[in-house]
Formats: sequence, C-alpha cells, structure tokens
Amino acid sequence: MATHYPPSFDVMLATATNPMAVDEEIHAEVRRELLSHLVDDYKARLDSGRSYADAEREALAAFGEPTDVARQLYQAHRSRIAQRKVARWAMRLGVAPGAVALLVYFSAQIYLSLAVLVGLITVSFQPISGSDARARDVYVSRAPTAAVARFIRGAESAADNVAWLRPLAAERPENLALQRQLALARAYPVFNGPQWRSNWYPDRPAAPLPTADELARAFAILDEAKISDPGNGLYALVQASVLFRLSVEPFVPASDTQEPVVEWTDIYPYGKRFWAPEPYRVANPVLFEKGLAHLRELDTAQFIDSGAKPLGRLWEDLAPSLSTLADRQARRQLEQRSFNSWSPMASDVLRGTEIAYARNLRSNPAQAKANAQQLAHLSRLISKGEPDEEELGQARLFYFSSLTLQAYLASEMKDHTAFDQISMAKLELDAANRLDIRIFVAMRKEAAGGKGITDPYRLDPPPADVTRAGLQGEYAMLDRFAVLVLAGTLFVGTVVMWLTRRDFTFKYLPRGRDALQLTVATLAPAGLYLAASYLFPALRDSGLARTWPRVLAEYALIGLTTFLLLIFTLRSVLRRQGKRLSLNKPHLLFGLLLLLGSAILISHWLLHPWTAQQPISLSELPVYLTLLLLLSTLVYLIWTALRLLKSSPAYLLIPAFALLLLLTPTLRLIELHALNQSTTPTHDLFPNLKLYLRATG
Amino acid sequence: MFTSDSEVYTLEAEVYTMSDDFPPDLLKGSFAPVILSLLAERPMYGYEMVKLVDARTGGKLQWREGTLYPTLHKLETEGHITSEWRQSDANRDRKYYLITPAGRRELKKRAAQFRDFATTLAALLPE
Repeated sequence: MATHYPPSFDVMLATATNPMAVDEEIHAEVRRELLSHLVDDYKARLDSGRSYADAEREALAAFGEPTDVARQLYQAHRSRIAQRKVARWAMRLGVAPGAVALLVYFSAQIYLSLAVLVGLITVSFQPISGSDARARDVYVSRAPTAAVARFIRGAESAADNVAWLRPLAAERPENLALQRQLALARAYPVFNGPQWRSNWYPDRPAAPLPTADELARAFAILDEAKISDPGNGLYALVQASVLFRLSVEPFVPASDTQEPVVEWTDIYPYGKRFWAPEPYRVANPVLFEKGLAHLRELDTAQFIDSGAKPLGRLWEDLAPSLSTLADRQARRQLEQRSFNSWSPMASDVLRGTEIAYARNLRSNPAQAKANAQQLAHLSRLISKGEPDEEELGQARLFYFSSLTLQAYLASEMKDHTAFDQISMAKLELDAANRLDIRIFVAMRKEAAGGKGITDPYRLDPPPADVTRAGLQGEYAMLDRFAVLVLAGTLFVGTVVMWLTRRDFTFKYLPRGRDALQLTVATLAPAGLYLAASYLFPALRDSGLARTWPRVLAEYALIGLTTFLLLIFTLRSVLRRQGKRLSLNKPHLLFGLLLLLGSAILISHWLLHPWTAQQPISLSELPVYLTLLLLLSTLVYLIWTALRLLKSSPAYLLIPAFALLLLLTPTLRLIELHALNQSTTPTHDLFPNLKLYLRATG
Repeated sequence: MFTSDSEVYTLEAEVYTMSDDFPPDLLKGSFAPVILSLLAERPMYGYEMVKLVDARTGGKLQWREGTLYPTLHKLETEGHITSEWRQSDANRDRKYYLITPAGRRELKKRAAQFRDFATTLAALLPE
C-alpha cells in the first residue's frame, strides 16, 4: 500500500494478527484488510482537521484493544487455519509423486506424438513386400495366433513349407495336387518368396531359339551332372525349366474377336497393382512333355543343392547355348554366379507344372469342381476367422492351385462368373497367405461393399475390432486430459513453488462462485458433446472409421473447454488481486485471433480433405497462416500471463498445457491417418497399438 | 445458521462500545442482522460499514472497529457473505463484502424475528 501511515499502526497490527502468523496467507490478507481500515480512518481524521498525532491516537483508540482483536480473529479463523494446515501437509506429501507421475505421463504422450511427426517426415510408408524383413516382422507381430504367425513366417522358409506339407501329403497319398505341392516345396526354396515374381521376363527375348544340337549338348552336361551328383534334383529342375520355357509361349490374340484358347492364365501382383491376366499356351507339346518328365524326377530327388557349386560351371557351359533365351536379369545373375538365377527358372517350372495340372483337371472335371468347392469352403472358413492349421495349410496349397482353376474355368468352361469368383478367392487367399485372417476378413468386407479389391496388400481399413478398441482407449485418455490439465497445473505449479522455496499456496485457488463457474466451464462442453453424441451417431464413431463431424466436434470441445478454462481461471486469479477481467481491446483481439485461427483451420480441413490422407505439406499456405495465428495467440497469451500472473509464475503452465491439449488431437489425427494409409510402417511408430495387438493376439 | 451458541454471537457481544443509549445485553444478537442489512443494499468494505452505521444512528451505535472484522470473517466462513478485493477510485485496495443468497434468507428471517420480538416486548413493557 502506497499510502504513508504511522509506524505505530505496524506495532498494533503485529499484535492483532499475531495468532494468524502460523498461516502466512491468512495473516497477510487479514493484516492487509485491517491496515486498509486504519489508513482510511487516519486519513479521514486528517481531512477533518486533526493533527497527525491526534489522528493517529484517535484511530488507534477507535480500533480497539489489539489483544482482544487478536483473540477474536483467531477464534474466527481457528478451524480454517487447522484445515489448511492439514491440507498443506497433504499437498506437500502428495504433490511430488503426483507431479512426477503426471510428467512421465505427459512426456510419454509427447514422445509418441513427436515420433509420429518425425516418422511422417522421414519415413516413407510402403506396401507389403515379402522381401522386406521388417514388413514380415510387422505382420508376424500382428498375427492373431501363433499358428498364423508361423504361417506367415513359413512363407519365407522352404523348410517350413516342407514341414507343413509333408504330414498333409502323408495323410492323403491319393491327393496328387498335395503330392505335387510337396515336391515343388522341396524343389523350389525360392518359390514362396516374392523374388521369382518380380523378375519374370522384364523384356522378352527376340533372338532365335537355340538349335536342337545346342540343347542336346547342354542336356548332356546336365545328365552327366546327375550321375556325378546323385540325389540332387537341381539338374532335373534346370532341364525342366529350359524345356518349359521353350515349349510355352504367351498367347496373343490375332484380333479382338479371336477366342482366347489358353492353357493357363497368369495374374499376379506387382507392387500395389495387378498386371492384366496374361494367357499362355503350349506351343511345343513334345518339349513340354519332356519337361514334365524331368520334373517328375524331382519326386524322387533327395535334396536340392542350394549351395550349387556346380551350378556356376553348369551355367558357364550352358550359357553359349541358352544365351538367346536368358533374359537380361538372368544373364546378369549368371555373370555374378548368383544362385538367384533360379528365379526365372522357377517361374518357368511353375508355369509348366500349372499347365500340366490344368490339363489334368481338364480331363477330370469332377476333380476340378471338387477343388473349386473346397476352395470356396476354405474361403468361408477363413472369412469366419476360425480355420485350423490344416485348413490354413490347404489354403496355402490352393493359393497355387487356384491359378490353375481359374485358367481351367476361363478357358474350358467359359464361365466368367466362376472365373471372377475364383479370381477373388485367389486374391483373398493370397492375402491370407501373406497377412493374417483379420485383414483377410476386412478385404472380404470391402469387396462386399461393392468397391472391389484393387489392392489386397493394403490394410485399409485395418481390422475394425482391434483398431476401434485401441482408439477408444486413446480417446478415453483424451477425455481425461481436460481434467488433468487443471490438476497437472496445480501439481506442477506446486512443485515449482517447492523448488523455489515457496510453500504451497491456496491464494489463487478458485473457491466459492469462482470454483463453481470453473467447474461448469470445464465440464459443460464435455456434457454438450456427450449429449450431441447421443443425438448424432456420426459423433459416436471411433476408431479409424472416424468421421469429420467427430473430428470437428473434438476440436470444438477441446477448444471451447480450453478457452473457458483460461478465461475463468484468469478471472478468478484477477479477482483475488482486486482486478477485473474485462473484454477490452487486447482481450478482444485475443478472442478474434482465436476465432480466426479456428475458422481458417476448420475451413482448410473442409476444403482440403485430402490433407487428412497425406502428411500436411509445408507448401500449404493455409497451414502456415494457421500456425502463425496460433503462434500469435500463444505469444499474446504468454505475454498477458506474464503481465498479470507475475506473482504466481506456476500458473504460466496453464497456457502451455492448453496448447498441448489443442495439439494432442491434431497429432492423434495425423497418427491415425498415417496408420490408415500405411500398411508397413518401417519405423515402430505405434508402439502402443502394436502392443495392444500383441496382447489381444 | 445463526444458533444460540453460534460463535458469531459470542463475538458480537464485544463489538459494541459501552454506550449509555443501549446496554450490551440489549444489543446482543443484533449485530449480524445489521451487517447483512447493510450489505443487502450494496457491497461495502468494513470502514464504510462503520461510518454508515454511525451516521444513520446518530452515534447511538458505535462499534469497536477492530472487532468488526472477526465477525465479518466468521459470517464469510458460514457462507452468508463473500468478499473480493477491489480497487477504489483513489487507487486504494479495499476488501468488499457481498451478501450471498443464503445471507439474504437469513436476514429476512432475523428481521422478522426482531420485529416480532419488539412488538411482543412493547405489549409487556410500560409506556
């Protein structure tokens, strides 16, 4: 108080307020009030013409005996002092652990959100690629059961494939397809990997075919190798592949009206697209049958020499004869003595075997029909998500045989409906082979929605049950966040005071009407949101199938809550300081900035919904403007807080928490869209979701 | 709630200065309703209340000014009044007291009791 007053007032007030000294805040407030009274009286007496001495003496006399005042004041405040003493000790004991817990909690959320942002900048999301070990690990980690995980892992291991197929083939010796599949699995370690698909004939040879003599010389080398290396199926495999390549050719219709007479139709994925079906037919039946004969040798082969030391020499000998056949990729691998030169051979062999299988089915329509029915049955089983291990193995088997089925149905039965069904089943089984059952189910649902499957490698949408449950947890956390803002501010602020050797203060805690208004301001938007969500189902949607109304409602809810929280907190604090919060020009400017920023943000999202499907581009001017306005608002808010709350620096954390509160849904949204569009995050951006999936699996 | 053993009563017995006009035992119980009545008009600070009572009663009711505040604080604790610091035109901070809805109800009740008591007493006492 700037007014000058006699020193005797201090002496008198020291006596009158002495019992309240145990509570510094009560003591200070009571003393301030009593001093104000004494000074008012003193000045009034001076104004009436009293001398300084008389005014001092009369004011003291009118005030009364200070010891009596002290006793009565203590009597009035006794219970309050005791309650505050208990509360203060409770806060001292509980604040530190609470603050640490909150800081850890907030830090974890900030870390997660920043990880998403960093990931969006530095990580390129890619579709599923079986060659990507990290991608495979992701799918293995998402497998709902151990069997499915093994199933996925098995796609990369020939040994696993043989282990899968051997007991099935032993139980069903009459099943030729199963026996053939076992032989293939034994013979082609790379079959189940994706490599062989990706280098199928990058460009087709235009050079003339090798002569019969050249072929005979090459095959004589292979036959000699069989003798010197008995039991190794490698040489028969090479012979079969060469013969199949020579005997099978793509079918190119001479005109649009020509009926496609095909032996086998190839449809396979490349990246995220599907190449158009390519029909093939046998151009040289004699060579084709010879190739089949060599392939049957694999059934009795003991092993395939994956080291293939003789292979390099073999290729060197064969190269002059076969160079006109080898495509660019094969030649390059040959030069490198790479065992991967098997890849084009493998494709040749597979195509030959599928054609042979199709011919067998053609001669046995009952078997083809049974296979088709079994395929449909397996599809239904898998769509229910409850196939056993054997059925999963059969599904894997039919992944191959369905290629043959569709060729048969297309070329012989001319049943396009069945062809489409088989194609769809093949795609689904393909996905089931590579992903897991839940993704497979999601694909079926998408297909049932009439959209058709354009990309079986996408996880869009991911399994609805899993993501919805996970996100409900995250959004439940968001709902609690608003309450934690106030509590966190109090806790952290108290720790700051404790660290700065300032005791816990009740001075700025809202109470009475202020506390009521603050509570209403905090809870009212949430109540409105809950009420609206009961009226509008779109607001209730959660998970990745979130709707724009829900997004906007979340922003409105959190923005309104934050705004009211700030306004009412500021008003409460200012009222305690004898000041009043009025919407004068600076505050009006603050409100306008807030509204303008929100309007731009919302309009941007409405006008450019594609930004929700991509990381926000820095070239987006509205984003810049929005960030600028938000930053301006934050700066003004901090400046205002510094000016008005300088006596309580801990409360500066309120705008910081408010900013965090506003950022959280934005980051979550980015995270969700990243998850939505990504099938294989190459960085572990979603540890919480991943852990959740593992736990539920 | 004002009860017979309320601490407000024990406090207000010492609020009034000794006066030939009204002995303390006669004034007992009137202090809190007076404060509430003043605050029902408008928010006031302590010194303002003292001067207003002095002016309106012609000096017949004189308070020991220092002991006014324990009673005000107690009334605030009991929820009948509330307070807030305001800045005056002279740039001075003063603690203003405001009556609450509960305080208004209590004032109405106490005023009716006092009028009834005065009427009853008048019928018993000589002119």
